[in-house]
Amino acid sequence: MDRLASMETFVRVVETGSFSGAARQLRVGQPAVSKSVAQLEEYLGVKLLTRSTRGLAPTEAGIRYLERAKRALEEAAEAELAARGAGAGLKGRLRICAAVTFARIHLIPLLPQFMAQNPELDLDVILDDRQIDLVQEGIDVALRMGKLMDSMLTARRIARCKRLVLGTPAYFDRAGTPSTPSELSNHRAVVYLQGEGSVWSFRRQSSELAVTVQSRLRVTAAEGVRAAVLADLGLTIASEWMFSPELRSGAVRAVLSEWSLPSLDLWAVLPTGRAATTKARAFVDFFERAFNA
Amino acid sequence: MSLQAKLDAFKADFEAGKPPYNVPRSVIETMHRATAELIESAAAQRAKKAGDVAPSFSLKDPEGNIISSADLLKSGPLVLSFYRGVWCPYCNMELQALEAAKPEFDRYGASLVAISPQTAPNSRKSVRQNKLSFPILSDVKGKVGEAFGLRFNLPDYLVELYKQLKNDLPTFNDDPSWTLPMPARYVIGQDGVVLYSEVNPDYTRRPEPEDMIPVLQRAAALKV
Repeated sequence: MDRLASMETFVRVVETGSFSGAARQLRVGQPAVSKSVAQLEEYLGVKLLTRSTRGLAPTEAGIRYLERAKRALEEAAEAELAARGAGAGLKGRLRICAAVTFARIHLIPLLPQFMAQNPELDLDVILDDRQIDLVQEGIDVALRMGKLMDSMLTARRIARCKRLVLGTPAYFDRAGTPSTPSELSNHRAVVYLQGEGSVWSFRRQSSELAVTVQSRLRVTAAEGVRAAVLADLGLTIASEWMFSPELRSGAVRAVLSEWSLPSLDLWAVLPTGRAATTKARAFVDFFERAFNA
Repeated sequence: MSLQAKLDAFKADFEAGKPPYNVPRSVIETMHRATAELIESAAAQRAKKAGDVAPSFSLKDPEGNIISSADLLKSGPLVLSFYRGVWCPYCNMELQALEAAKPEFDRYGASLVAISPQTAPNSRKSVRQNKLSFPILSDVKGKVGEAFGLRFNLPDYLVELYKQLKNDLPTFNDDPSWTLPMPARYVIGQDGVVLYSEVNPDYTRRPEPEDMIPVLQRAAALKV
């Protein structure tokens, strides 16, 4: 039995909640996963998983083993990287990609600190609102928002923020302040084509509400949405991150605060299929700390 | 007083076990459990919503006339209210509030219909008791509710409770399945596309009828 492989299998089973989920991630058959866990349980002499109608769950022993197994796997990965990188440290070039507006407001301002800490590291910052192919573009790490479409990527959630309906005071003075989502029917919306389009969905308590907005202006990049909103052209749905400076200064304000929109997650995404570089991991650690500071 | 404020006031009395219902706490807790589980199932998020093409329907009103969505949409936008039945006090309060708002809907050339899985005699009772001037259509076996993604199976323990309370849905609905629609409100444009949707897995919450007005104004502006 390969203990490290069994540990990995067990961790994936717990994380996906099923043998089949782990099998898919590991690209092996489900019987191989079941067998590997059974062998591990036999080797340890304890049950690690309980099977119920609600699915799989780790036992007490399984929970204790899980945390240490994760650490062991991380240590092993670090050891491999150290051997492969052979003391490379943080040298060479790191290719980071992010959405244009998010990077302008939140990433670039943190780079002086990161670059000062890593004087021998050069950066390529690839800015695109669309999701580009990380492997094809040779990206080491991507900052992505929203739902992750590609299950073949390794991702870590860095932060979560609220999404809001917002506009400028001048726009609301002219068009009125909506007091219910249904009033959005008669408002001018600036629609972000990478976003929800012209159907806006809200929740209040458990009620699910959706309304079609007038979308005379549709824009493909967040920079354009920002500029249009700041030119008083209409209201929009945006993350707090997209208008952080203006929400602070009062240049835009949020409305319909009794209704909630699905929140937005920020992920650090690493392409799998090749070992994540030490540089990429160092960047993710730095960014997570600095962004949430 | 808003519709939701009336519903909240009724709910407070109902859940406090006051007359005329005098409902014991255990019954309230069972109802809460069922509502919480329905919310948790995220069924409301999978229902038809704004931007979707509304499923078309042809259903009978309490007098047996066939009413089709296609005919209704010829004359203007359509306000559609899915509700549970004449046995549900929240539904009756909602129907009364819709009746009060109907003159406003008329101003924008909109039709108003309610859809319930209950049989025609129960719908006639609904119309009579709530003094309605708009039709309640009988959704036989809940098929239209199903097409809108609103129909759900009552859990076993809720079926048991309804039986104890003599709320015999199979007879009410002439359908052995023990299913109901989640209450929902739609505004459908003349092109058949939903302009506004609200689905309430918690049946004690309903949208204000007045909230439909801005949507109808928009629909009138789009009129071909």
